[in-house]
Amino acid sequence: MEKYQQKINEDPGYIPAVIISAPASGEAVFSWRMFYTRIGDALAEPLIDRKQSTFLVGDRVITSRSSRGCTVAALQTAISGCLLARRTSLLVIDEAIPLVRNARGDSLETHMDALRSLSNICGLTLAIVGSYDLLRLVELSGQLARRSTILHFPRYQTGVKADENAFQSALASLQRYIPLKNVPDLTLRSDQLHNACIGCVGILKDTLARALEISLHLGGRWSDENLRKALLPKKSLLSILRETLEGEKQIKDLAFGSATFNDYADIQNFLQEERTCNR
Amino acid sequence: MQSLIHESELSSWEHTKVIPKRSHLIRLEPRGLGTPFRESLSSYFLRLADAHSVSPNTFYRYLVSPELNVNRMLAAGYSTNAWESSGFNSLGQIPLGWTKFLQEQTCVEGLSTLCLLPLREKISRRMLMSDVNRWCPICIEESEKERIPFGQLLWKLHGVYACYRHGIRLLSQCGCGQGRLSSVQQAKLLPHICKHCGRSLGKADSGAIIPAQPEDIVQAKLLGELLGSDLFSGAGPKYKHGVSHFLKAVIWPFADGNIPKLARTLGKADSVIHYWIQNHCKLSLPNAVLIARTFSCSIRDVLIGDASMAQVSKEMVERSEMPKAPPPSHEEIRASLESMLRGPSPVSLAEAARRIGVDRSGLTHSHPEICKELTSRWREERHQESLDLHREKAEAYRDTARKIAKSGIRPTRRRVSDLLNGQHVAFDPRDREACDRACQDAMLEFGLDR
Repeated sequence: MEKYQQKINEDPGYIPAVIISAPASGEAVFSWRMFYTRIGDALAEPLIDRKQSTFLVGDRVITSRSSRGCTVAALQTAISGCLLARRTSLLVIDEAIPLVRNARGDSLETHMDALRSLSNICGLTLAIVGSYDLLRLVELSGQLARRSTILHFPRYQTGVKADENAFQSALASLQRYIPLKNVPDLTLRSDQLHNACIGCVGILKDTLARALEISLHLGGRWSDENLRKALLPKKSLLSILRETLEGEKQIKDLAFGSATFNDYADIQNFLQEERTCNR
Repeated sequence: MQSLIHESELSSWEHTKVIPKRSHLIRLEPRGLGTPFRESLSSYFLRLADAHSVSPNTFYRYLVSPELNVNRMLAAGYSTNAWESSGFNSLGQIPLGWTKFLQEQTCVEGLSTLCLLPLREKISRRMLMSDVNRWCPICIEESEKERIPFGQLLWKLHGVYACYRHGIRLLSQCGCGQGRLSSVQQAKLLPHICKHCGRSLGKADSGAIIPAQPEDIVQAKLLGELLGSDLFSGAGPKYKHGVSHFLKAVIWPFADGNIPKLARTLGKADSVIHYWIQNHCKLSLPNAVLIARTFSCSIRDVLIGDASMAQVSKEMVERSEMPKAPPPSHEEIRASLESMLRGPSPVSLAEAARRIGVDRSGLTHSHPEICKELTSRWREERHQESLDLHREKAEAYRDTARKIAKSGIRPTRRRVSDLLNGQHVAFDPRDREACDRACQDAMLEFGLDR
């Protein structure tokens, strides 16, 4: 923000970054129409449902007669033009799982091609944020792997002193926002909550929010019983933990810093073998 | 669910940065600012609508008209396609409202200089803008190479028939007569695209590019220099009655303080010069051009009253020394009128007065009978012409409607209009009626009415 603050102040048309969450429309396939509409909404683009496509037929510039019910192509062109005009350089797609869910093989590649095209046309950096399911995208093609960088935000591990302290600090920060009197010092229960939330601050935040809601519903007094009721059920937690551990295992080989020089030696050997086979 | 974060605490959150309000519309930079070839407001509007990928009509209907008082504009006779009217780039209420709206929405300053608003206090609205859409194909081609084609304000001015940069005549027709689009297609409305065929206006046939008359080039240059002057940058002097000062300054050195002599030099009546000197009215643009050309100075100098650059031209000296012709006698006027009455083609009263060199109302008073005959002959001729034209059009509609119906398609006004090279039959009620009748007849004839 600081880097762009001066430019933002100087140019009221400049929007350096756009943050959206990927739409889950309830349909079997990912809705690109909703995706582009969300970007348009984030950019405060007017008349998003009335975009017109322009075609070049020979040397003629033609447009569709009706502006009602615009096509996805028209929306994409409009949004690309808008991102370019607003000089947006970062598009953050939060909760990006709907992008990969239900997409298999070619359709997943098509999705990534559409995103790559948007990125190329507008000179955008795409930040795709989500759970470990997104790792499928990197394994999709070498082209994509070359252009991608994975930033892993791991959960806080139990048994690691620094992680435990950080989790405790996050808990203390969240407690400050609980608008109730007589809330006991929750950091005393830091270890218990750490386990109950498997070290994820997101789960912790949701748990505290649920506890607050229960407390407000029962007269506005905080109690340990309310906090207990707000904890995730054991089965849900196990399911989350299983997925998280699987994801952590996968990302181990994909994140920067995971490679060693020995790996490159292995790759050399692999290439050597391949050449021999070809002969 | 209640938020975990208190609003009061959120505002004091150390990482929260306040982002100033962003412009509602894309901040599109106008082209050619500060030069004689500045973009026109209508061109800017079309480009802005295109930047948002919406048609100008949609843009106008959903964004502009709720903000501007459209009903009042419509009542004043402006069409819904305001950007196509000649007054859009002028200096009235319409460009005033539009520039204010567009400036607020785009946060771009200086849009008022894309029309003639900077001259609002100095120039009359009379004979200001051209009703004909003109362009220079070479200028458009050049701007296309720079990837941002636009239309110039200079081309919209009354009396500009040439591009003085390229020394050619401005075009007013694309030459797409035979190549128009079908009714299902629509050309993109952009300043450099022909709205009938969708082709670039910068790709004119070499035969269509004709060298301009020197007179036209001089006139275009004078007007171009006005658009590039400091009056449009906002830095110019704020002088309301400049022409009065200018004439007062030139009357002694160039006309010996003699108003009739100055009037002869400018080819105007003495009363007109008196009128201008006494600040009774704003100067019209053609008159400003006339004064500037007569005194070999810029229009800007005339408008701000700076006569320091005024010079005596040979033509001016000759004109001022020419004795004023005596007015024609009563008998001479009568003879002229009678000859016009007997002439092969009818002449209007205004034309007759112009040819004789007298005032029209004076002519009606002095020779009422002949004038009456002259007028009735003229009206009859016009009426006949109008009937012939209407008959021709009705025949064309009938033929076209039959042609459409013959191919099994229901003829409609739009289809007939498209086949007739886009003639807008909808604008004249008589044409509309004739076209509808032709369509109905054709449907009956070919059994398409069921």
